[in-house]
Amino acid sequence: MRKFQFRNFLIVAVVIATALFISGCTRYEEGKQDNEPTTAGDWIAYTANDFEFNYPDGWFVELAQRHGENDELIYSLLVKNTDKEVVLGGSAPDDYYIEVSGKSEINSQKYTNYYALINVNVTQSSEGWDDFFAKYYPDSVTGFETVDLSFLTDNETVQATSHNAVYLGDPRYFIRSGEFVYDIALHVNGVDEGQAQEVFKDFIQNFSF
Amino acid sequence: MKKVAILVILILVSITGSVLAENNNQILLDEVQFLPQSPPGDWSFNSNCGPTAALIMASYLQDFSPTVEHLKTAIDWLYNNNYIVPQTSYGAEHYDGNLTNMGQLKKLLENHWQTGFVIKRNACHLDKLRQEIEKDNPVMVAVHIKMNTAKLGHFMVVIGMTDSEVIVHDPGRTAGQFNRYDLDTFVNSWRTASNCASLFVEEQVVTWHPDGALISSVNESDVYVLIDGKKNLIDSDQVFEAHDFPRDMVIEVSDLELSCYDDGFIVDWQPVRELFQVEDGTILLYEKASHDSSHCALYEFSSEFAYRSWTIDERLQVLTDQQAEDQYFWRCDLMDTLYVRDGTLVKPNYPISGFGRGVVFVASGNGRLRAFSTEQAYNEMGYADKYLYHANQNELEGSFRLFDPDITMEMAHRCLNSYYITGGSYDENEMDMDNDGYTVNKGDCDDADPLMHPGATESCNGLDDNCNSFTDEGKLCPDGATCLGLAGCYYQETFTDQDLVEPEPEPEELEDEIEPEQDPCQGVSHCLSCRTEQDCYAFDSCDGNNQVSFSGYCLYEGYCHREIIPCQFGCLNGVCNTPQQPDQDQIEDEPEAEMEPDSPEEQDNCPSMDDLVTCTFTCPADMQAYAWYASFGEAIGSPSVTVNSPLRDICLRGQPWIDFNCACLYPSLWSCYDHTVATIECNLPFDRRAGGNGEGEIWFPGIQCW
Repeated sequence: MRKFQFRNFLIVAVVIATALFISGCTRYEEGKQDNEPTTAGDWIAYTANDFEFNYPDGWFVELAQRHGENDELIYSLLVKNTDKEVVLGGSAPDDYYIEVSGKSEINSQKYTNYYALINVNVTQSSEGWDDFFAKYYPDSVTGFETVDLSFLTDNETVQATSHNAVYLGDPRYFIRSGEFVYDIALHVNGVDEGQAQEVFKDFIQNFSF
Repeated sequence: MKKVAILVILILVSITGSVLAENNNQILLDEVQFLPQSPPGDWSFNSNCGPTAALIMASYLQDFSPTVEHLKTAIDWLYNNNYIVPQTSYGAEHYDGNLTNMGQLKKLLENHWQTGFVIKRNACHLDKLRQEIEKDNPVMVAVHIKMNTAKLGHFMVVIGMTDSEVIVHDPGRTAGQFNRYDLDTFVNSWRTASNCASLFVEEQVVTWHPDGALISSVNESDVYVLIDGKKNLIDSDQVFEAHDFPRDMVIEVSDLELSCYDDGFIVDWQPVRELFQVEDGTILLYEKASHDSSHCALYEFSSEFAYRSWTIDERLQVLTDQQAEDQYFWRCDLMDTLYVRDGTLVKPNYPISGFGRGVVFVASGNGRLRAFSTEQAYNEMGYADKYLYHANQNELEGSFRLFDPDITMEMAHRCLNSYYITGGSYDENEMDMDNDGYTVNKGDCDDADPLMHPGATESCNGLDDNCNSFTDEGKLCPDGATCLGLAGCYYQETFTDQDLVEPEPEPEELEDEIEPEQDPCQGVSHCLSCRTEQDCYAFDSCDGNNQVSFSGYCLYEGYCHREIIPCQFGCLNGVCNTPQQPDQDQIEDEPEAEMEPDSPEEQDNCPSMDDLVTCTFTCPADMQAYAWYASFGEAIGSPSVTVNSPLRDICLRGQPWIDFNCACLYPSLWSCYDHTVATIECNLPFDRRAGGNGEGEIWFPGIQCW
């Protein structure tokens, strides 16, 4: 059984694609690269340092590690279906757009806005859901409800139903496993939504909680 | 009970004190209204932080309340101008917008809300951020959501600061108004997300820099050097390095300013340079246009300080004169002297006559120094973070030639290609370029000269000072003198010994009269006012009694340097007639009466070359007196010095005069100087004047050296 291990840190944030904003202090280790498949065939083992992880065959993996504000070690995993850069949030770099024939177009040599990716935040918490959201997502997640995921039977899961701040991904599940809560969301842009949903489901099913 | 009350008061004072400490140096634009980026759209897939942040800024600067409708209009503007396209995400709405960058938001502010010129800056300087807030100017910053570098890229608007916190409106949260983050967290996010990118509206844009400035657009990497008011593109990094341009002196300017300069040439050659120093200490620059060039040129640095200002990255060879001759002089042309390099910032550490202490100058025009009239001009023109040379008097003297007019904010806002923005005017003739209160359209006949405008006092200077289409009209010279235009007032009547050289006002009197706008030559004969060296010409003039030789230099006092030489034998070809063998008849023809001294003692004493000239120059107690005479003599004393020298020695310079000055002793010798504070006593009649190099002169009008 491949395990996703935690050492010496309280909060491990696995934020897909945010590594784009973390440059000098991060180190990426690349997995298999491919050019834009959406569906996943086999699942590939990814091993680096303390990590043993599964990712969909044909997808792209990056691992970054850095130290947080309290010197805790924070790992970030990037799993996406393209080897090009993906920019998330509302702020684009200066070279994100180029002008072609008087029109602003994405700089496709470097970036893509056709992608599927998964966003995971992992928080160490033993609080109940109300306290959990009040503590870690104040003014952000303002409503949630229990959901029953057929592909995930052993864990307690809720789904965010309302927000008061920018967030990424839909659907977005909060899955409790032991002393950790996994905030996992799917973000799809311009590729087959149904196929991405299938991968997302398999990703959670294969995830070593 | 009393003790309890005191304790309570102390606690309250303590609490109040801590609150004050926390809010130390707080500046807050609390009237900036907030709007979250959602609605419109919902929070998922919402990418509207950019246009929302821009709306928050625009609404404050243009005094309206931001609404969702304003935001939707802005998003539509971005779509309609093809800056963004709708997201393709399943579930994303039209008004979720899409990613925006600083360039697009700059256009949104400038073109949609028409806020005026917007500056995009990449600089991790909290002080500059604070400066904008202090100017009532909110600043958009590219950071991360919640300043967390592990989260997504985001725009916020900085509306306040304290010593320890930044205060922002964060459109990414419903409760995003007046959010506070500690400065370290903020800077870390700001730097990581965008290399500290910020946008702010510049109400009035600097659009001019003096010659020698290295400028670069904030949006491009091209660097230009300004020469003769034109921008000259430096072709490549290799060319930039070959010219030894200092990289840290490149000033980021607006695209508007770039458009204000006409194109010059492309600097595409890579000069080959060598440096050497000859036996007398002179440092010279050898230069060829390229390795293959057969032609070479030599430039002599005017001083070691000037040499250092050129930052030439070559080894300095020390050569004997013979070696220098063999290696360089015989085959190269000797070119102009190099003074402090154009674009160099210089701050003298001693008071400069006419400027005082602490003034910063920028070199421009090979040896011309221009002071910044205000700190605001210095800062807003982008010099505040540039390298500043501190120079003492020994270093600076000889490193420059003259002072040009101060750089004012008015100058900084001018645009040389006739595209003017100040005051909303686009007409050059509507601009008051010389800051004298008159534009060309208001009758200023020379908008580069603040002394010339309607209502100005007409002077005898060959100019139409009052812009009434007449030159030198009216009675401008004292009785007995005639206005000769450019050459000033000339006395035509016969001279006596006492007024053989028309006495000029004592410097003290003159300085008392001088006001910044006044002509220093007003009422002074043989005087030509000037502001720059271009106003002065080297020429001789003779009126039958005196030869006036203008050297072409503009003195600090505002008039052209000249020597007035009494003519013993009248004039010939515009100069004094100096016959090799004076015709005895001519001498006899000289009217005796005209040459007779008026004073009884001079009537009795026709000075001989052996007579002693005794003059005492007395300076204030904290100064040292200097006197220079003949071709070699220097006398020094504190606080006074006496020159006691035969007339023969005084005349060794060909004309009878002594230079003098008073130099400060503290904080160091020559840390300041002022010849006007000296009192002078002599055993011969003398005229006192201001001379060159900030020195005073006394002349003995009754003495004929030859």
